[in-house]
Amino acid sequence: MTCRDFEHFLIPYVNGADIPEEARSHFAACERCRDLAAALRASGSTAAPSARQLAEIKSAILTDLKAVKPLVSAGVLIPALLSVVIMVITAGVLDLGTAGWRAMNLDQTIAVFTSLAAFSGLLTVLLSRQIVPGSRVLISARITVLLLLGMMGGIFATLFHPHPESTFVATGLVCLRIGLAGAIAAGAFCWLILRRGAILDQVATGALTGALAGLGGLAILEIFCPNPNVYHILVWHLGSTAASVIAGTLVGVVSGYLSGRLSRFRQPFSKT
Amino acid sequence: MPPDVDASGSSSPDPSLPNLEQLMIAYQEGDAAAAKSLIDVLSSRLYSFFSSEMGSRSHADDMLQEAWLRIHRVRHTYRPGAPVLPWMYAIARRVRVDHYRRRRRIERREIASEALQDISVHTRQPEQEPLFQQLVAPLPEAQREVLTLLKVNGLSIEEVARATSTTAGAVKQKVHRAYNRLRAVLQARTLPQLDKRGEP
Repeated sequence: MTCRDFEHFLIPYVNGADIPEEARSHFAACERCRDLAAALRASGSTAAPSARQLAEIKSAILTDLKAVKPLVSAGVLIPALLSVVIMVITAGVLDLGTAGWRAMNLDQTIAVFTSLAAFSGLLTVLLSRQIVPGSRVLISARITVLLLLGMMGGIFATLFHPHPESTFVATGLVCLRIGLAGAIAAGAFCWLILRRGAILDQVATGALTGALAGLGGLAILEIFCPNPNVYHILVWHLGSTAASVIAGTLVGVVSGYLSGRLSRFRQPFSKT
Repeated sequence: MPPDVDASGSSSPDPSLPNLEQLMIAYQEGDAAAAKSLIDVLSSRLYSFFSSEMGSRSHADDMLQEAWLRIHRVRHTYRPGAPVLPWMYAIARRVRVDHYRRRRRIERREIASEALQDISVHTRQPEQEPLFQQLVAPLPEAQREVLTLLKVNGLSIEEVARATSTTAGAVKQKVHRAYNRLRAVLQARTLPQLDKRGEP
């Protein structure tokens, strides 16, 4: 056993837990680990709340105590979030048509829509955990968003090719507007679901919601827009998703700042 | 009998704690006795979590009240069957972050307006801190938090990962880096003593 292996047992050992024989042998032979263990035996804070404070907390909580319905399970939350995105995509497609879908070949259709479905599924799973404190984390929000943008960008860059385009900005702005409108609608409906939970990390939740909403907007664009120019797709279609992620993150930053500032006005307990 | 620890470093549940999951479910159902029991059992843990970082009793008092307010407000998000401690510490951690940011804003404003007379009340006083806090003081915030949750609050690696919204692998990495740094700090403290002993 190495010092690194022993690290798993160090704090349990210092706290008085039984450790395997192999770990015990390493400890007996290793001066570095013994020194560290001796230092970690230092006592932590032993401060305790006063009886008066506990009584006040109990009194305040009991005054407002009533039965609450537990938050719905992930098995309900995930389909609900997916339904919202599918609803927004359907509304967008009914309004704008399916020229883009028809213009794609089979490889492009399979790759683009399978990736959109897979990332939407992943994002809804992450969001359903994000609103429940203490949930197990599968992958960080930052990595997910970077993976999403990188992989979708890679798929577009591989499967689509450059085409000459005389109105790059004018047609692009139309697509950007459509993508953002879809994202705003999907984001707003998703928020109505997510607000039922406890949003502790507003920035991560904002970024993930922005990404999911952005994928809704991107799906509308891929179904509607027949422009095969890879630069158009990368800049304006995927750009609308990136803009949605940035907007979601900014909403999270502002909301976190405001909730931090306003929390001091919500103290129901008197000062001890 | 001491609790066992498995190969991942996770110890078995603390037998001194009552069944927190049942108490949480009863609390969600509006049971006053369960709410009181939870407050009795968990407040001292929360208080030690808050006082371990902030040093000041008044800050820990404020944060304890704020934590229970938030726990009460989001008690519906506890899912029966899930571990209670990571759920509770995740909320407590957010309270601490918000409190820390608010305190820094206030301190900046006080400094800006040259109101430095009572700054000693707000700043940390290392000599009054428990030994463990003095030991981990040189560590970066994230490493200090993880070690405190493991050592002082008795959480397992998996529980710390859930409470801090990260993966167990990331927690292990932080712990490893913290130990490396602590070893370096301890070595640096030991060397001058050895040098002194070596003087003629």
